Amino acid sequence: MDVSKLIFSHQKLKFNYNPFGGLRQEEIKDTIIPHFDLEEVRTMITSKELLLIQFLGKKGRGKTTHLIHLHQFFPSAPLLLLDRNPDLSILDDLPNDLLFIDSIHHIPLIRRIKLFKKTNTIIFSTHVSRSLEARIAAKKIMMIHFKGITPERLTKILRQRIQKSLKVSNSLFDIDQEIVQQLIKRFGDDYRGILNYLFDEFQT
Amino acid sequence: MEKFTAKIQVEYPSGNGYFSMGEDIPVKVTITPLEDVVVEEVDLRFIIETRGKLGVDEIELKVEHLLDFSSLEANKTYTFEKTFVNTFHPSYQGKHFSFLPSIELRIKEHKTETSSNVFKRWFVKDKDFTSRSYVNCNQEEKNLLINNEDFELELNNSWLKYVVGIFLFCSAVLFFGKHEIKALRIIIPALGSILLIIGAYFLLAKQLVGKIDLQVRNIGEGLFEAKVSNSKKWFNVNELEVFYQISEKVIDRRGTSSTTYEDIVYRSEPQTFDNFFQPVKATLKLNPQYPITFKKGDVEVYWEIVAIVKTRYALSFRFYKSVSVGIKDNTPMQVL
Repeated sequence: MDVSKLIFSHQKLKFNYNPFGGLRQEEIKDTIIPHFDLEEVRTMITSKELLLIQFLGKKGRGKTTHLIHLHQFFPSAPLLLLDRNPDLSILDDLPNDLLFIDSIHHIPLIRRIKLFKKTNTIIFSTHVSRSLEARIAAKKIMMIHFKGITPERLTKILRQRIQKSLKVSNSLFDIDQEIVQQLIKRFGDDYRGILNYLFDEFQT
Repeated sequence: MEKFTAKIQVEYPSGNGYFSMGEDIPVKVTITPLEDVVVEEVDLRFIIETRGKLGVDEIELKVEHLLDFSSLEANKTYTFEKTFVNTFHPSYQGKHFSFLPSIELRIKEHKTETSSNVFKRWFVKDKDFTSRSYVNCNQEEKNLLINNEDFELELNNSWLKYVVGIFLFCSAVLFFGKHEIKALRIIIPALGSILLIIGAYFLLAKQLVGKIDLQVRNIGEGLFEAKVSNSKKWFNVNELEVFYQISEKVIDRRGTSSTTYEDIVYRSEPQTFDNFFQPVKATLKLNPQYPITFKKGDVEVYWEIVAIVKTRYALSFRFYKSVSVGIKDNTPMQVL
């Protein structure tokens, strides 16, 4: 796959940085193609309903990106990006209204259920459905499944990222659809895999 | 919908598309509010972004305060001029990450609390206005300096983890296959052999080579001298190679799992010695195209001196040690 032909333009494009790498939190809003109706989810969060919203999917499908993006509309609510060995003492001081938690599976089961019970609304990402735990905690749960990819969607994501990283923002360019198809064939819906692959190719 | 248009202009020296280290970077900022706005503060920050196959992090070098609590009129243009100096590190595009010097304008708008609904209180649509402009700082012009140090080189044992890993994997496959008891007849002798090989490796290194000491000294012009000495006076050694290598290590914690990327990005030309009647002194040039010793968050750049000792018994041993490299007359050795 010759990814050097991914971006074609009649002018020489200049970049501030590699468009396929990590983003600052405030850049996500300009590059994300939302996987679900953001307005609907935001309305649900602002209603007084007791609710858990789980972003479910395999790694690299955009769960964390969407969680961070959604959190930006509620910046005063805590956002916990949990690692393998999180400091669980932070759970004791959290407010009971609204929480955003990435990788909730790093919290032990009993603590998780306790947290579900005591917090009105939690939006979290997970590899495995937490519906049973929600039932134990007597909470309504909504699932947003991160699965699937289309050439149109991938093209839009790549376009937004490239646009954002350009030195001259109104430069014209296009994305080669054949390479987009090849990327999907090779990586499936693993967006992270696709972006990492393109990052390496671009960096060299 | 943004409430401002803003422009950050950086004036490059004539003929150059870059700034040198320590050179003044003149910055002109224009802000035009699209409606009447009250701002709490307006700041201009000079930062170095680390961006790559991981989340973006930044090192703040200087903040210039442009405005305190003020009312700004719609369609009026406000202009500010400031000067920054890059004392930390030039632009760098590596294998897994880049250093990107940049100027950021941040406008904090004054907001009033309106909602009493406990959940709506969390919902904030308007955020601080930010605009960032990247500055190209010349990578090749920096003057590197190694930390003068005396130390003993360490025997490379990184291969051990692979041997142990392969052994454990093969043992598990054998043991949990159909022949638990028969498997032990293979596993136990294999374990014995591996322990024997590991023991022999360390014993031979100690007996044949002994201790390798290194003295590192700057000699100016981006050069340094690595004086290598041996507790056994190189008695069993046929040949010695000395060089240094630079590695990048980043930990990608984006998403629900983490991945570590670690690679050697540069290896200097090795200097070979086979005459040990004279002192062994390698003169090596620090490559200014690569970053200094650096560690912050999930990004690390480290330099290592490597000595490959080839004995007269056709056995080679690899010794190494990390060294600290910084920029002369600038920020001291940066391990943040």
